[in-house]
Amino acid sequence: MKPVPRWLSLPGRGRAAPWLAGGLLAAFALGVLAPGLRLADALDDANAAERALADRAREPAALQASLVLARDRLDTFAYVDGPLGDVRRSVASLDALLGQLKDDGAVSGVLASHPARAIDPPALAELGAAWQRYRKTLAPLLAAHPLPYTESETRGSELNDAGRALHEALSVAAGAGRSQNEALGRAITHLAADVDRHSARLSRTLRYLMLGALAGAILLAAGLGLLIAARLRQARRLADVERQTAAILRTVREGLFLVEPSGRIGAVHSESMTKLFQRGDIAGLMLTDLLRPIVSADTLGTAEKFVEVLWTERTRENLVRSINPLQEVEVSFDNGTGGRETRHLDFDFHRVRDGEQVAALLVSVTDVSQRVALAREIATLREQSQAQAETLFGVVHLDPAQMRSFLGESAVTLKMINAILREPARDSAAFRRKVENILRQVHTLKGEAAALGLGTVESRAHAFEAELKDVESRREIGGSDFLPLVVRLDELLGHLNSLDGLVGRVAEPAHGDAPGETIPSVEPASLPPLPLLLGNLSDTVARRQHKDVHLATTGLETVPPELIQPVKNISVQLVRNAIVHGIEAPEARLACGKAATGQVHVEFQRDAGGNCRLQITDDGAGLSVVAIRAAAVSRGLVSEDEAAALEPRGIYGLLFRPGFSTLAEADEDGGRGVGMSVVAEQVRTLRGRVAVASSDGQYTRFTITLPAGQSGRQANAA
Amino acid sequence: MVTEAEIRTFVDGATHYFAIAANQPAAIGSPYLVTEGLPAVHEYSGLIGISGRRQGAVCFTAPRAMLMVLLMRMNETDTSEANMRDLIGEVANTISGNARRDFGADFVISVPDVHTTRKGETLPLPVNIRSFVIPINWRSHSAKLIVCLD
Repeated sequence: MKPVPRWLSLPGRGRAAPWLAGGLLAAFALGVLAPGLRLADALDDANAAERALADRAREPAALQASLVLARDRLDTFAYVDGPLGDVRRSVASLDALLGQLKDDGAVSGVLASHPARAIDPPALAELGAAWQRYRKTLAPLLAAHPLPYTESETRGSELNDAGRALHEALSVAAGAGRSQNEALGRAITHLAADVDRHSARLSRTLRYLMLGALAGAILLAAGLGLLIAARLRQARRLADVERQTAAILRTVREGLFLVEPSGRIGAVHSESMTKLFQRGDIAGLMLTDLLRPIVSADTLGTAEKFVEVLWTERTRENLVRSINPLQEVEVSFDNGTGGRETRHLDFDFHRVRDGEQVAALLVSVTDVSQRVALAREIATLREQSQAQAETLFGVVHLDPAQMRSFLGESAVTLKMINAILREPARDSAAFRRKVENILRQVHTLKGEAAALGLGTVESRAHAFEAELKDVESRREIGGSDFLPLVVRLDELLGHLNSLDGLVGRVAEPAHGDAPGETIPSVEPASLPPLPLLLGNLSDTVARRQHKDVHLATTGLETVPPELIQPVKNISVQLVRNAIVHGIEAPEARLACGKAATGQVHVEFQRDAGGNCRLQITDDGAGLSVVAIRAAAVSRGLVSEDEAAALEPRGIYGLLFRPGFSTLAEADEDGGRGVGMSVVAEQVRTLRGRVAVASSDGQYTRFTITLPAGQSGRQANAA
Repeated sequence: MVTEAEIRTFVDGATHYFAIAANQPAAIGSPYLVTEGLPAVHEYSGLIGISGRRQGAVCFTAPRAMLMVLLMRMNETDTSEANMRDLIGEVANTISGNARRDFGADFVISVPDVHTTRKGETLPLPVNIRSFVIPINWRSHSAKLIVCLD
């Protein structure tokens, strides 16, 4: 298609084209008609002047004839009033002509419009002078005359004095006329010729004007034809553009629309918008009204602020895009059966500029539900594979006996948790007891997982613990609060099962291996060496806490088998607490004159009577009575008055209360206030005692004394 | 892995029935897992098969006494076997309706299948999937919602 001329296709000029055509038409009319009319008037005047001059041209001759006739009649004593009247008329006519010539009358008026071609003024002056001279001879004839004859019987008719005077005047005038008439006639003829030439010029000019007008009309008609053709081409092109735009908007899968500065959606949008947003009334809708039913109030608020920023011209577009809260945003729609259907939409905003100003926002919306689901699936798979790799790494590097033991103990722990869940409960107090019991179990499991470096188990147990603490913090606890807990239990159980399977596969002999080369089967429930277990735990926790710690153990090899489990549980909690709460960061230790590496010592002794003593000592900052008191008050375990009244021994007793922790925020290593309650529970079960000794800035020592004969009790409890 | 939201949908279906039909809400007991074997069921059970994004079954099981009180509460004097079965089917229907509403086309939910069992008998639930058991306590009675999805 031939492109429309630029001056027509530009929106501004395109709109101006009809006005331009109208203006040209008006200019043409004014430019042709006004001078045409003026020329016609001038021509009319010239014709009138020509006629008048033609009439006056005979006047001198007529005047001369009248003079001669009057004199002849006077000679014959005939009646002279007639010829004298003609003389007066001729004089009056020539007077009028010259008067008009001098006074810019009808004739000179025409000529005055063309001064260059007017009568030569000296010639006119000479004509006037000649006429005046001639007219002086005529003056006596113009007045009324008495009868010029005298009648007598004797002499008959004869001229009287008046008659003789008249005869004299007529003779003088006739004589003057003979000399002046020629000049007068020539002057009038010259004037007539001049007017004629002028008239001819006017006619010529008018003809040229008409020809010019004809040419102009043809050009104008051609111009208008071009204009109309261009407009038609433009209209066709616009129709094509509209058709193509409609096809694009009908076909494109993305939602496309413009947002006006008022925040309203423009009149045109892609058809897929209806499907994406499940509504048909999108045109003219406020953007916020489009979003409100499908996104959360928080997202809506953020999106409103974001759109405000988009209208700010100063902000860079790339920067703005990076903070777009509607990227892969979760939306929910009524699914038609009363429920909600969740999807993910991706909104992309582009500024539409008019010069420097942002005139509108072009928004494209894509349904990325499948992409998001796939990304999540990939992330889950990646996490699973990473977890498996980590687990495999851990399994390979762990003593199989330790791993078996851990899995066996964990299975027992989870069964215990499930049994706690299964116990019937209908009131809040019963539910709360369940939560507290489960918390201790999960915390113990977490500690053991940490000690073995099984991060995937530890993190799941940590998440389970967090959920339990959340439930515990509620004023009233009901059965529905346990739904997330049982899901966490299921997740942990599933993970431990897969871990078990992994251990089984690692332990299985490879196909085709020769006898004798098989991996020795793992002894079930072999007990792990405590020093190694606590060493692993110490390293893991110290690394996470960015501390340098050396763990020393004494006598742990002598722990009777039936006490290994409680000693392990207690040691795990206290070693972890020693590193998290007691040992200072290397810089802090150096600053107060200590070695950068903190020391933790775990010692087990058994006397001849069978009494056992477990002692965990660290050379850290010691217990701060002030901090313990403040933490107990802030966590609501005691009132300020009660805390103030407590002796140091009572203050240390707060450490063993469920929920106590001096850490403001919980992490994987502490802060939930569960560990010490686990210690207390274990010691209580074994009917033992706990003694706490501490010196500010020097050390903390926990001494657990287990009376003889508790081995059997522990075995029964297990 | 079964999510809390999925379990909650089934639970809401069951409790909704008691709130509307019996004009007395039911409470949820402490949920637990059945890790080995099949969950024990009461005399009357409505079983809903699930396929699509998830595979498995959901079952509402209640003792005869509970259903009888429920019928009486609904001013129903007919406590015949057929009426008991209809009632358990209705509860299961409400649960499946709730699930259809919340899960949409992702879940294909079958028409409830009503079972009557004697003590010690079990339902044909998937054996290799851990079941979530959620006690539904209503008045002094207790029913169970069993969610068994992979």
